[in-house]
Amino acid sequence: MDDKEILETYGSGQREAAFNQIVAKYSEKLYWLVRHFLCSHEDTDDLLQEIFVKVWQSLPSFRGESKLYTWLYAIATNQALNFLHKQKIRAVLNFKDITTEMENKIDEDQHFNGDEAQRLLLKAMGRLPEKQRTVFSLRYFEDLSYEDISEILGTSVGALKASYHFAAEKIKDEIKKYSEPD
Amino acid sequence: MGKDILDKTSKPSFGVPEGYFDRLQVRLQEIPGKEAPVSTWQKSKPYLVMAACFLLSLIAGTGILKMTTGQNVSDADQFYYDLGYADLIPVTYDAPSLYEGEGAAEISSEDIEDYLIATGVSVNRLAYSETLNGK
Repeated sequence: MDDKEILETYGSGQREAAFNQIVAKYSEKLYWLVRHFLCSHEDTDDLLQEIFVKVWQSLPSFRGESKLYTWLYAIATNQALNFLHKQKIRAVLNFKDITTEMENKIDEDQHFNGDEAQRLLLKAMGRLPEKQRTVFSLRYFEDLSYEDISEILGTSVGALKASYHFAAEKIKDEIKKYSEPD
Repeated sequence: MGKDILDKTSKPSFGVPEGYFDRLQVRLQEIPGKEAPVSTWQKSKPYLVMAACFLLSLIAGTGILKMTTGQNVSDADQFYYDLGYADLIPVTYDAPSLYEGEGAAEISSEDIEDYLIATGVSVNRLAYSETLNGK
């Protein structure tokens, strides 16, 4: 079932059926989107529940002005960024460094199957400013087009390209610094 | 080169517990049974409540301000009344009655003296003034 059919199903009053189709089609995709932001499986699992609650509650106000999947990605991205904000505030209140906390999570993640370079890439991504991190994640991990990212984030394509460029350069420098010490 | 590093580094691969996505789907599909969709009216409800509270506090504030300001004026009036402030002000005729009308030109020296005595000017002072005026 494509997005148009899902929305038609919802419009015909079969709301739960439509929602179940969204879950079937997008739960795994949104899981990976959020996982690349948060790295931790447990955090992603918790947040995914909240994201789909939000989707269910917001579906009546979806007007179809944007594509269904960019709308879903926008909700998931906003929720993930809010989650990171809250974590940052908690870390500040506990006199902890959020970057170190995130890096520890990556190191301690039992479900991480990557090599050292991939670990470095994730850590470097965690040190990026929020905007660059978001753009990099959506482009690099999700392979989204700049046009779709523009729709999700409400930013111009030119600005997104610049953000991605800066993010990629910083990550390359970080990986280079660690992989080629001195 | 930097570009090569990023290209050579394959995308990080995370794992999930076995059968996780199947369980996730089942869990997420239970959401409609637990959570009712939020209508536009429900969404705007908190904002309406906030606006109503603001209006109420504005009305209450204005009312209190008006009441307290009115009370102050009345208190002041009462204060001066209690002091007998009004009695301290010399009673005089209205200015128009002094300078207008038929009798205005017929004011005699005696009338002036009577007026001055009535307003509390001492007889000695009057006598002194008359001496100065060469009367």
